[in-house]
Amino acid sequence: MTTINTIQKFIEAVMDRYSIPYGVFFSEYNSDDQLVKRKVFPQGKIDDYNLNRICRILGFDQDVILNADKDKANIWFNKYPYFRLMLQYRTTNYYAEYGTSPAEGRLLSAIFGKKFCKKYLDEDIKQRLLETLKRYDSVIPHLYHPDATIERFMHSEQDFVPFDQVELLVQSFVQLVERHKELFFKIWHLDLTKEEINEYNFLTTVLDAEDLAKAGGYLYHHKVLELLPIFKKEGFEKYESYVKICKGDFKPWKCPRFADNFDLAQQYINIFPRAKENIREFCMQIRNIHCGYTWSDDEYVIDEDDAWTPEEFRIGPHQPLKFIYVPKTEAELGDDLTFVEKLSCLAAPPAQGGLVLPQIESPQVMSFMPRMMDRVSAGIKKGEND
Amino acid sequence: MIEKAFSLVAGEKLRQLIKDNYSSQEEFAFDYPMDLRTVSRYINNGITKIDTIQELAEFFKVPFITFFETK
Repeated sequence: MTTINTIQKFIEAVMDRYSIPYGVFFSEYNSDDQLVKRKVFPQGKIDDYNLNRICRILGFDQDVILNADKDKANIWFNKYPYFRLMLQYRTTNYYAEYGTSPAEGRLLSAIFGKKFCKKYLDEDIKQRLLETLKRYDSVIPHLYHPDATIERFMHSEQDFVPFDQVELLVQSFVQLVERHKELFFKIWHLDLTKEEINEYNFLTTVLDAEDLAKAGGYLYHHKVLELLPIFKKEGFEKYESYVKICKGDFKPWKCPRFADNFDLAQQYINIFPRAKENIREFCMQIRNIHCGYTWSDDEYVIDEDDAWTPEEFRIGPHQPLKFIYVPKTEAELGDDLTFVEKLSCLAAPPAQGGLVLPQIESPQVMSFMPRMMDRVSAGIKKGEND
Repeated sequence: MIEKAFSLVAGEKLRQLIKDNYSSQEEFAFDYPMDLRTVSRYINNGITKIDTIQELAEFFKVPFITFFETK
C-alpha cells in the first residue's frame, strides 16, 4: 500500500513536471501570518475532499493518486508536447538569464548574493552613457553637465533566450488553449466522458482558466455546469468573453525565432494581448542598455505628494533619477540585430504591419458589476481554487 | 528632464505620428498601450523624459532626433 508520504512526494513531483505551482493550491497561513505550503492531506491520511480536489486539479482518476502511478500520471505529458518543451525551455531560460545552470546559479547566489554577470561592465557602460549624453546635448541642451559627475548609476539590459523549438512550444501551447475552448463549449451542449472531464479540468488548472467576471473562480467542469444558466443568459459568442486565462505570458518572444511565424505570434497575442507591449519593451532592451543616473549638480526637488504624506514616509528633497537608452555596440548585438528587427516589426502599429490586439466582443463583456451580481444572486461563489 | 520648449516639440511630433498611424488617439492608447490621459498630457504639455521619447521613436520606426525637429 502506498504511504501518505509517497503520495505527497508523488503529487509534488507531478505538479512540478507539469509546471503547476504547488503553493497556489496547497498553502495556509501559519502562526506568524505567513503563507506556507501545506500537505495535500493535512490530517496525515487520505480524505475524500482533498482526494477529489487533487484529482480535479490534475485531471486524474483516484487510482492514479492512491497508487502514485507514474505511468498513468504521464497521460498529459504524452498527449501534449507543450510540457516536455516547457521543461526544456525553463532550463534554457534560467541559463540565459543567469549565465549558469540552475544548480550553479543557486551556489553563486548563495556566495555572492546577487546575479553574477560578466557581459555588461559598469565602468564601460557608464563611459558610454556620458558619450551618449554629450552627443544628444547638441539636440537637447543641458542634457550633459560638463562640471558634474554621474551618480546613482544603474543599468539593465536583456538578451535573447536561445531556444530553437520556440515555434513548437508556442504551437503546443495554442493547442492546449484550443482544446480547452473546444471542451468548454462542448459542456454547454453535451455530457463529457469521464476522460474528457479529467482532461478539461487538467487544462483548466494548467491554463489558470477563470471566470472572466471573477466571481466564479476556476472554471472546472462542475463550475461551468453551475454557471451555465448565467452564461446562456449572457449570450456571448466568444470564449474570451467567459474565460480568462490567468496563466502568465511565458515570454516565448524572448527567443529569436519567435518572430519567424507571424500567424502563430498573432495567435499568441490573441491569448496574451499584453505580450505586444512586453515585446516592444524587450526589443528596446535588446538593442540598448537602459541607464538610470543623476548628475551631482542636479537640482533637489520635493514631490507634490510629500505635502500629503505622513512625515515618516516623506521622500523629502531629492534628485530625481533620469533614464536614457544607450545603444549596444555591434559586438554586443552580434546576430541579435537581425532577430530584433523582425521582432520589433511585430510590436509596431498595425498600420506598419504589427500584431493586432484582439477586440472585446461587446462592452457588456467588461461590465463586471452586473455580471458579478448575477453570479452572487444565483448563489455562485468562489471556493478553494474551485 | 527635457526643457519645456523641446518637450512641447516632442509632444507635437507624437500627435503627428499618431495621426499617421491610427484613426484616433484612443486607438493608439489601446495598442501601445498608454493611458489616454497620458497621451493627451504628452501632446498638450510635452514629453519630458528622454527614454519615453526613445521608446516612442522605436515604436513608430522614426529616428529619435525627429522628435526635436521643428518644421
